[in-house]
Amino acid sequence: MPFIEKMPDSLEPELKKLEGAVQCALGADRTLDGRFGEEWLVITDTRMLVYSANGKGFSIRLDLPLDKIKTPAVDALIGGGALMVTADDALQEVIRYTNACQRKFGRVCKYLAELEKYNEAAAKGEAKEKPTVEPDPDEGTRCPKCHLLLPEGTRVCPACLNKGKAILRLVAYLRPYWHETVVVWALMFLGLGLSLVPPYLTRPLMDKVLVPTIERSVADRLSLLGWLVLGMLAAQLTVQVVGVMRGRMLVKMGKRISHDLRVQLYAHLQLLSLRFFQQHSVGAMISRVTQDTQSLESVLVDGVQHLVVNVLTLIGIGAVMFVMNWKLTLLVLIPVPVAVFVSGKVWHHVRSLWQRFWHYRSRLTASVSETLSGVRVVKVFAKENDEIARFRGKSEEMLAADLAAEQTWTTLFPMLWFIASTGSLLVWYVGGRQVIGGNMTLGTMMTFLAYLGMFYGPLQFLSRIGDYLARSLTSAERVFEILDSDPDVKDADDAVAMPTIQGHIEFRNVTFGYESHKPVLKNVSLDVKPGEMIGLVGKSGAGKSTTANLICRLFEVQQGEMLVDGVNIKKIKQQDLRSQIGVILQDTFLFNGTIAENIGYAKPEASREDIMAAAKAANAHDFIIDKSEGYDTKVGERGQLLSGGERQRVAIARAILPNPRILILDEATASVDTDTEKQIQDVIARMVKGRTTFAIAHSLSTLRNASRLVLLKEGEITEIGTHQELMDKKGEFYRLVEMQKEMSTVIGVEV
Amino acid sequence: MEGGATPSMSLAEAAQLRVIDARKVRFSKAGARLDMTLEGDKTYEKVTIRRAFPLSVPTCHHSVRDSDNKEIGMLCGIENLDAESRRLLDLELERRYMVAIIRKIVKVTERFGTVDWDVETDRGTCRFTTRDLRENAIRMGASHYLLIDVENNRFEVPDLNALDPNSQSLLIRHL
Repeated sequence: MPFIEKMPDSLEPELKKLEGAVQCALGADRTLDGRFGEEWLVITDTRMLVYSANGKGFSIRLDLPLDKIKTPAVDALIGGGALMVTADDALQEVIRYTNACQRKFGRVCKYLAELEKYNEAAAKGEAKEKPTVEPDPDEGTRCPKCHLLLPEGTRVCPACLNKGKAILRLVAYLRPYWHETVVVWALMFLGLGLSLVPPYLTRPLMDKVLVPTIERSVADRLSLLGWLVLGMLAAQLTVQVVGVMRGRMLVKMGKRISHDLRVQLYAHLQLLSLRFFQQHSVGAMISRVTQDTQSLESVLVDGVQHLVVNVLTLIGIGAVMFVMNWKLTLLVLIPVPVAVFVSGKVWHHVRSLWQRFWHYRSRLTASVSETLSGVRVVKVFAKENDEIARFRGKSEEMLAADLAAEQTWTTLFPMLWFIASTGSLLVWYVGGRQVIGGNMTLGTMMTFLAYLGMFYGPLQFLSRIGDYLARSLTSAERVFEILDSDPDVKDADDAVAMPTIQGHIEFRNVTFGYESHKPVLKNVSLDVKPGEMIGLVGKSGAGKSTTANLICRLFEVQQGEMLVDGVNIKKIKQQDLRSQIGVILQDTFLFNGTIAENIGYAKPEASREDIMAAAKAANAHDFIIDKSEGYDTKVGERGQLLSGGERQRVAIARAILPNPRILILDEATASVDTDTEKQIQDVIARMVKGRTTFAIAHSLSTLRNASRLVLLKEGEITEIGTHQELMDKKGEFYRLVEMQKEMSTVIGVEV
Repeated sequence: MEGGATPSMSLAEAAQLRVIDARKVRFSKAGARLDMTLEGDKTYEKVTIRRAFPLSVPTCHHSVRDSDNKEIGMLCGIENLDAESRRLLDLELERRYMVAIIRKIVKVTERFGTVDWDVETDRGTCRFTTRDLRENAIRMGASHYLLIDVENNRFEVPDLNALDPNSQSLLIRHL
């Protein structure tokens, strides 16, 4: 499939003039004089051309026959790159672009290099398959609909989010609490209705009680006054009681729902495969489990209710006012649009000021924590005064931001009130004239004013409801996104149980990459017999750890297959497979708990004797006994209360406790001192007997016991054999060993 | 230890930091290839130039590197280069450092935490998107800012106060 981007209309006819099929046509965003501008790279079956925008249309700037092009390369520049080729024995710059186009021109460069190879082969008559260039897969960083850059780690576009659908899905979470929901809503309507009562009582209070009339005696008026005030008291009291009841139920419901969601989300996260966690940062996941579920609670419980309450309040008050005096109502509505608009703006502005303040505050906190934890460095270089000055600077920045926010708020808030109060001024003036003219009673006017006061709060809320809803619903979508993602490593329906693995492992033409277009392992085949110890050797990035990951089936191979005891790894129950693999990594991760709990992590039913036996085998028993709390010693967060060597040995004990059939040692001794390393080596030498073992190590001397060594280079097995065989071969492995020997003599240590 | 630094040796000597006197340097170009002829040494083909302090001191401390990206030396005193060499050096730096200098901010649109900027720069008008401006608007000096967009392109504002008032307020509002 050719790689052709959507091009401007004026370019299309130009390309029609070309001979042969267009293989790729890509836009670049820089010109060779360093300016921003549009250029297009076009490759046909025989030629490579560059079109330059010249104001009216496009003209050809460069035209090279493909078979003349040699050594295509990408020159990585700062903030972009350039495609370079050699043609007619001269280096030429083909096209220049910013970072946005880097990927696609990288692909083109690779394509050109393959073409060059193909042409060479064709000239010799060894023509292979002609290379092709494939379009870039959609990276999904922008919303396909509105082109908005998506928030990191998600494909949910906050602008295009289907709000109705998200709300419906959220509402489903209310179902288990439906009777509470009904009660809460009933209480809400009740409270709303009751809150309209006190202002309504103002009218008779004015007209029938306070304004002197001849119709009623003073005693009558006094008794009515008493009843009316009592009525107001009753209404207000009921409103408060109803409010308290509703609030308590609401909080309970909200917290329960957020708890449900949190647990559901966490449970799903645990099921997801490692690939998911590589694509999403841990920080983002933490915030989804804690903050996003929280914000869901707020939209479910508060948001929807607030919305309904406020809309109903507006309608209710509007209706009452309209019935009382429609002309006056229309008049007081005049400042409403202004008030809504201004308060929306003000709120936005003030919020950004507050955000700036919060940012400075968190920077200040971070810097305090940094210098206090690095206090040794500060003291050693005698930089106390400079640190004080730096702190002062940061604190002053925070002060300025704080002042700006506070002062803006104290200035703008009264202005908002002023705009709101112009409505009441209108009522005073226009209504006052009507009262004087006898067209309206004083009571009606006072009631009017009271309702007006209740009108502006909901209005302000509604002016920012869009923003609020959008943000909460994006939270919802972020949570749903996780709940909807399927683990890509799953037990097959016909997965077989394998309670005892022998340890025969076979790689058959395995190709794998964390990103499908960048293979880390290429066509790897390896047959490992039960009980063999395989040493994996190679530079970092050669695919050693990836090989280990595939044995654990943390990822799924893309091509080829992996067999354990002759069964495809995809057909084995994950639980059975992993419980018989012991993994020891370079950075051991212990959970906060006691040593015994950590050793028993993989086998909670293990007896104390088993745990001690595992510790003894791992050479850990003695140091544990020496601790005052023995096996009950707390290891601290990530095991930081133990030394590196101790942690490593606890991790080894943890790995061997379930008596795994397969052992994976990934740089297990790289981060400990020589003495400890020796001890751990002894342990490993004892452990590997009778178990299939894969050991990865930089220090080649530690792999002497391996039955076979496998040298990986850029994802391919280049050498394989025993230590002696590879040394005799005098290849890459020999070179590595010699280099390490040399290094050791320089620092004066014998290997 | 063999070849270790003696106290009398300067740090630059010990570290083998080589300084190239610009008076002995001549740049020339063959196609898109930049060559450097060093008097008393030889002609290095296909060299590249890197700034050691691209933001704080862009006009000084240039590292000249050979085609394997090994440093030949630090070029010193570029004002002493002959006119043609100087032109080629500037051209190469201009090419390598695609950092546009913002002259005017036309429009800024903020949507859901991402900010789209329409700007006029020394290299023409352009539009770019930034996210998380607190991390990606770097304050280099009192009024010297660097904006990094989502593609990792750089945009420089050497002096905020030199911008027109409208651009200034647009920028400040989003920082």
